[in-house]
Amino acid sequence: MASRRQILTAGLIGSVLPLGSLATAAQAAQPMEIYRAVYDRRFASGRAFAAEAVRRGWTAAAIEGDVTNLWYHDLAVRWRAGPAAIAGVTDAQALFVLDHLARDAGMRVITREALPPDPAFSWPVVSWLIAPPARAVRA
Amino acid sequence: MRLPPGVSQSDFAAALTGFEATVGKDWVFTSQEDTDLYRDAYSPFWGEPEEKFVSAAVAPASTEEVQAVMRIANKYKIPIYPISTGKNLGYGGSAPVLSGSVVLDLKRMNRILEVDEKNAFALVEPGVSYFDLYRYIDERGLKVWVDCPDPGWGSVIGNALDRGGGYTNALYRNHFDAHCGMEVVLPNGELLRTGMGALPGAKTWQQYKSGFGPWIDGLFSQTSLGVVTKMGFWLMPQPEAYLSGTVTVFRRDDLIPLVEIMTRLENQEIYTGMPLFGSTLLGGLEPGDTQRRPPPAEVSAILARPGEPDWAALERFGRDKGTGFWGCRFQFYGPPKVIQAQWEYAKEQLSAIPGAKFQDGELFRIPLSAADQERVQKVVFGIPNLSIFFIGARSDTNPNPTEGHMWFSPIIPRTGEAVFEAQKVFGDAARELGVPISPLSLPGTYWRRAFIFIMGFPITHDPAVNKKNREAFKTMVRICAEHGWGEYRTAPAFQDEVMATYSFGDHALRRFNETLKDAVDPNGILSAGHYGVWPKHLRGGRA
Repeated sequence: MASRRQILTAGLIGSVLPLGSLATAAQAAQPMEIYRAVYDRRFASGRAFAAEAVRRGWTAAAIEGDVTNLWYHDLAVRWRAGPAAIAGVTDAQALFVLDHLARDAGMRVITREALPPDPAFSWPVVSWLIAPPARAVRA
Repeated sequence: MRLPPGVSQSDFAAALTGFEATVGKDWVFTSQEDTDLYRDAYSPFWGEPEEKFVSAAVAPASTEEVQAVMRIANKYKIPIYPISTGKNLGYGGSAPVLSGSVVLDLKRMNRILEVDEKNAFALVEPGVSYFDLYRYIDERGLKVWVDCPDPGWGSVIGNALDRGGGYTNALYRNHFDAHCGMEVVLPNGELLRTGMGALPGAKTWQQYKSGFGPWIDGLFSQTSLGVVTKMGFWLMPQPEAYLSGTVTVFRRDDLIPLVEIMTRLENQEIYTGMPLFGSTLLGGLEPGDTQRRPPPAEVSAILARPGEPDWAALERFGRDKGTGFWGCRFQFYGPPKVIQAQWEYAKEQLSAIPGAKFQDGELFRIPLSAADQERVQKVVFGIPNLSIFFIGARSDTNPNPTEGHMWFSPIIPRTGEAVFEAQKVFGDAARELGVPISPLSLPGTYWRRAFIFIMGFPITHDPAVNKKNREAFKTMVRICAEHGWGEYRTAPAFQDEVMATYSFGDHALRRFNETLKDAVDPNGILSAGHYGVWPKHLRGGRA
C-alpha cells in the first residue's frame, strides 16, 4: 500500500507549476489537514499561494522573513499536541528554520521546490510541505 | 543499516533490541531517512566522505531510560553521543565527533521541574528550550527572566554545557556559571547529583553550588564523562526598567581608554547589561546592522585597499561625517532612578576621553508592552527569538548568503591594546588566507573579564571552498595559540586541533582529562573525542 508521503511526493513532482502542485498535494493528502499555509507576504507568489490556500479552506499565516512570531504563538503550541502539517511559499531561510523546528515534532520537509525569483526581490522563493514522515501516517 | 565503528552487526542488532525494549520502538531510529536528520546542517565536511554520520538515534523520556540505555551501550560497547536538542549550529549541531555513534537524543526529556520566583532559580531537563522556559515563566506571570542565546531555539542545558552565553546581566550571561546543581548519568548507568544534590533530601540544591568536597560540575561541561539529565539555573529577577546610553569616540586610539573605562565600570557594577561595542564607521552597533545596511562606500573603499588600513583616512571620515570611529552602548537594568544615576556616572567617567559624545537611550518600563517588544533587541530583554537567522539571509545587501558558518571564537585580553594586536594579526591572516574578517571587527563582551572574538567562517556546499576554509580555520587556531589566545568552544571538526593548543606541561590537561575518561568510562563509549578527549582505544597510540 502506498504511503501518504509517497502520494504527496508524487503529486508534487508530477506538476509543472509549484502552486498548482501544492494544491494537488492538498487534494492528494485528504484527509490530512494542512494546519497552516505559511506565506511570505513580500513575495507575489507567496500572496498568490495564500489566496489559493484560503480558497481551499486552509488557514493562511503570513510572515516577513522571520518566523519567530508564527513559531512561538502558533506552531509551537499546536505541535506540542502532536504533528500538524504545514505548507508554504517562503524564502529558503524560513524553510530551514521551520524544518529544524518541525523535526522536534516528528515531522520533516516532505518536498521543496524552487520558484522563480520574485521580480521585486531577486532572490529564490521555495514552495514546500512539512508533514510527518511516511511511517507515521500510513495510508 | 550503518554500523558504529568496531561494532559487529549482531552486537548492534542486540543493542538496538535492548534500546527498543527500553524506550519503545517508536523512539529508536535506524533508517537513513531518520538518521540523516542528525547531520550537522553547517558541517564543514558537507557531502564529503569525512562528514560525520549517525548509525542510529535513541530518544529516552526519563533519567531511568537514559541509565538503561547506557548500561546496554556498555554491554555491547556502542559509542553514544548525547544531544539535548542539537541546535548549536556553527559549533557542531547534532552530529557526533566519532562518526557512526548512536545519538542519544534527549529532546523528549522536556519537563520544567521547578521555577522558584522568590529565590530566582529553575530546574529543568535537557529537552527544555529557551522558548519553553520563557513561555512557562510568561504564562504564569513570574517575575524572573531567563538569559537566552541568539537564536533561542536550543536547549537551556545544552547551551550551558557547551559554555554558551547570552545578552542580559553579567551574572547570568555566562550560562554555565549561572547553573546550580546537576543530575548526571555516568557512562556505567550510575546516577550522580552534584553540589547540594548529593545530600539526600537536600533543600538547597539550586541555591548553593558547591556542596561539600571537590566541586566537579565543570567536568560535565564540554564533556565525555556523563549525560546531564537535570540542571538548575539561577534566573535574573525581573528589573523595573531598562535604560541604554551610547558613547561615540573619534580617534582610533580612543579604543584603549574606552575599553579601560568600560571594564572598570562593569567590574564596579555601574552597569550590568552587556555592552554593545563596535565601529560606528560601519553603520551601527546592533547585531546585523552591517548586514541590513552596507557600510558607507568610502569606508569600504578605504578598507579594500591592500595592506594595513589607512587609519587617518578613516578617522577623517568619522570626524567629517560625524559617525565617530568607535561606539559603545551601555545597558542598565534596575529601578529608573538608579539606572539613570548610573548612566550619568558612566558619562562622567567616559568624558575623560577627549571629544566623546553621548546619546541618551530610551528608558523602557518592564514588563514591556507588546508594541515595545517588537522594536527592541529581544535577547537584551530575555526574550528568545529566531530573527538572527534572517539577518544573514539573502537580501539586497547580502545577495549571496552562505549555507552556514563555523564559529571561530578565541578569547583575548580585555584591553584596547590586545584588540589592536588581534585586529592586526587577524587582518594579516585574513588577507593571506582569503577569509572575510573585517579589520574593524571588535570582540564580543559576553564575559566580564575577557573579550571573545567571534568570526564566522563560511560554509558552502562546494567541497573545494569548504576545504580551503577548513585549512584557514586550522591556521587561525595555530596563529592564535602562538599569540596566547585560545578558543573557548569549537565544532567537532576542530576540537582536536584546539585541544592540542592547550599544551602546557606536555599536554597535562588533556592527559588528566583522559585519565579521568579511562577511569569513569573504561569502555570509552560516551562522546568519544568530544572536545579532544579520546578513550584509550581511540587515541591512536598517543599517550
